Amino acid sequence: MSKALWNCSYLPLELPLAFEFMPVRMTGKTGTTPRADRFLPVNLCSYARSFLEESLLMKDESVFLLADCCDSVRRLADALEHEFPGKVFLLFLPRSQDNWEFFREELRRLQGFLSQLKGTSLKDGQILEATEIVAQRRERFREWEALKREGLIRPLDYFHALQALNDFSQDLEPVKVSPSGGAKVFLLGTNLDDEEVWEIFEELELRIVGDDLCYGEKQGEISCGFSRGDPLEPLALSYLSRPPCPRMRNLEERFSDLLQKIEERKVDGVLLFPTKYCDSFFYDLPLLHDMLRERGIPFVVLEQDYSQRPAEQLRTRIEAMLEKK
Amino acid sequence: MNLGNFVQAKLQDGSAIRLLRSPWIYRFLSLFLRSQSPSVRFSFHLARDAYLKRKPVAFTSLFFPTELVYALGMVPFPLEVIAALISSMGMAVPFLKKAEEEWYSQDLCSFHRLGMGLALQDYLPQPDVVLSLTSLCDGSHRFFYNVSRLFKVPHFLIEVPGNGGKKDQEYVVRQLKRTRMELEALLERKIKKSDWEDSLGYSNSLREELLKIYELQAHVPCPVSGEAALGNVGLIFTCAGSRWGPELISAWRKSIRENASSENYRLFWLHLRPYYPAPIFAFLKERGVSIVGDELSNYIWPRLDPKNPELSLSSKIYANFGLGPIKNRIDNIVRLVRERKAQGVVNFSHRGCRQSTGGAFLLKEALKEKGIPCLILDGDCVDPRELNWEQMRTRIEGFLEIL
Repeated sequence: MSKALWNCSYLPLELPLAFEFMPVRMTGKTGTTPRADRFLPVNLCSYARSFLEESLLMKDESVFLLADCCDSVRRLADALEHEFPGKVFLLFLPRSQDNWEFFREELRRLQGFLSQLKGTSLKDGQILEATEIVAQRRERFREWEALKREGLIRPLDYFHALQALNDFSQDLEPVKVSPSGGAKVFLLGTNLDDEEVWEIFEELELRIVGDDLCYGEKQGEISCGFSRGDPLEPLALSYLSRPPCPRMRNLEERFSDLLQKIEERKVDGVLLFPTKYCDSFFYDLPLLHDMLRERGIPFVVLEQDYSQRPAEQLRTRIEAMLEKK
Repeated sequence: MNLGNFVQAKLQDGSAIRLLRSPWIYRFLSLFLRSQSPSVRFSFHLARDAYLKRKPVAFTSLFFPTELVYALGMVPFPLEVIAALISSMGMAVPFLKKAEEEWYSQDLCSFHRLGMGLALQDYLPQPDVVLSLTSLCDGSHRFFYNVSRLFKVPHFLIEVPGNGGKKDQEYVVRQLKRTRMELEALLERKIKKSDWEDSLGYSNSLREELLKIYELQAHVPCPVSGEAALGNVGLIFTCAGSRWGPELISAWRKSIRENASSENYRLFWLHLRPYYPAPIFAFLKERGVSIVGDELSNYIWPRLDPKNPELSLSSKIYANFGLGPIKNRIDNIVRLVRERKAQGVVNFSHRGCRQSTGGAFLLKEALKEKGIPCLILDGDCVDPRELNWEQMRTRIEGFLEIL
């Protein structure tokens, strides 16, 4: 089964799955990017650069499904198209659910692209079958989520669960329940794929009781219904109705949703992990800063840059933040 | 104390902003207005109308179709253009620092950081609305959202997807219509047929004037100053739809002396230029370099039809060279390079710009395949702290040698 490599959790995985592609989220890898450096400059999102580097190293036949979340991804799509012509699809993502009808037509365009690649059309029920598979995986994820909110899952276990959720070649094994008395933290950021960072969380005995990562908790909040009519309609609606990310339009909703989660879970602190050169998140930062400071919630900003190993000061800065509590 | 230092001091101690909000200063300055150039007179009217709130004020992003703003009887206040203006006066740094102190990262586009610094220091007029497009960059959407939040006014965002195919155009037209209706309700003013005729008519006349300048740019030697063309980008986008538009561009055209001195090199410029005082253009002139065009002042749109205003404005939005895959931009550059008989291309890579800088290497490679040499100049358009002139000069000299 060929892989469909994807970048953003607004991308409905039901479609590639229906065409028998294996959806796998491209994770960010820490390290230098000598191959990607030929195409993308250093002041571009380090996740996009890592994505390109990994793609250029791959030997197998894959397709690239990208939601056009930002300028960096659009340039990543250009570079991928240059190297893998005809294998790249850039899905236009509207910035609010008001525009779901346009998104539905974009999904139809994606369906056409996949159909052309496979040389076949979808049979009746194939999208529904795929929807069922994705829904089951999300249901399992929600069970973990409930445990995670209670602080009953170790950080590394949660990290591995997230990696598995987003890689359909992996089965979702039951996750270990490990009660801990460590500090409760909420993670805010885009993507946090460096295992070493999660090891530091583990060493500090943190309990991750919530996250706003691109591919984390928010995925459990996508609930796709079924429709007797056009199967793309519920897909478009459900994906655009999930809690918004920083590049979307309904940002008041985003901030009130975040605040509610942070307060309900009685966290000891918030860890903000903007990915280097992620403009959308960096515009959130001043607003998040004000929101957290006004409410006396401790927080620390820890820039995530895939071109560098996580610094030792990460540990020190988290410890310092927790001491403020 | 010279005048520049005086104005700088006034800006820093906050007294300049009191002057901008004083009706007396406009009355006094209007005595001298007749003898001024159209661009000074236009700027005077814009500042007066915005700071004294003589008209509803719309903060606008660079590519927002100002024809809609003028048809609604509003005054556009283009924040990125204002940022360039402040930088050209050598006053960018205190405002950039203010934004950075308030958590706006130095990695963000400095046009937006400077705009935010002005907003945070209360140097901007109070807007009624904020209007922006998603094109050409994502930073723009979030910058204008954050500004609207700061001023507690509505933000209207037009999303510009894809390539400008039928579905994309319809999507933009729908949003333009919805925005127009919501603005009409907010301002309690309906756009009349004659408002569209005026606004789109002025824009069409401006377009005709621009086409005449493009013709001059193709002359050998080129009589049009590339520095001036790049300096006029903000003006072109701000006055489109206003009676000032054709007058300003016509005055620019008339100021061009057709008998230009000889030239050694003809170059085409990509993206924008450094707006702060920098020796780059004096150096290029000294070396006999003509900038025979640039992407932004050469952004030309189809004639607008007042009978179909939103469809026309959507076509104008989609005339943007930077939309869609980078191939669109490359094709546009190659066409313009050939038309202008340019020997090479300078890509000014603005540090905080992901959409343009992000494609610089792909673009350079594609141009190389077409036999067009390309120099990538890393820098920043408004933040003078990023200028490394010695390095820039060496790179330009090296490039001219290979030409």
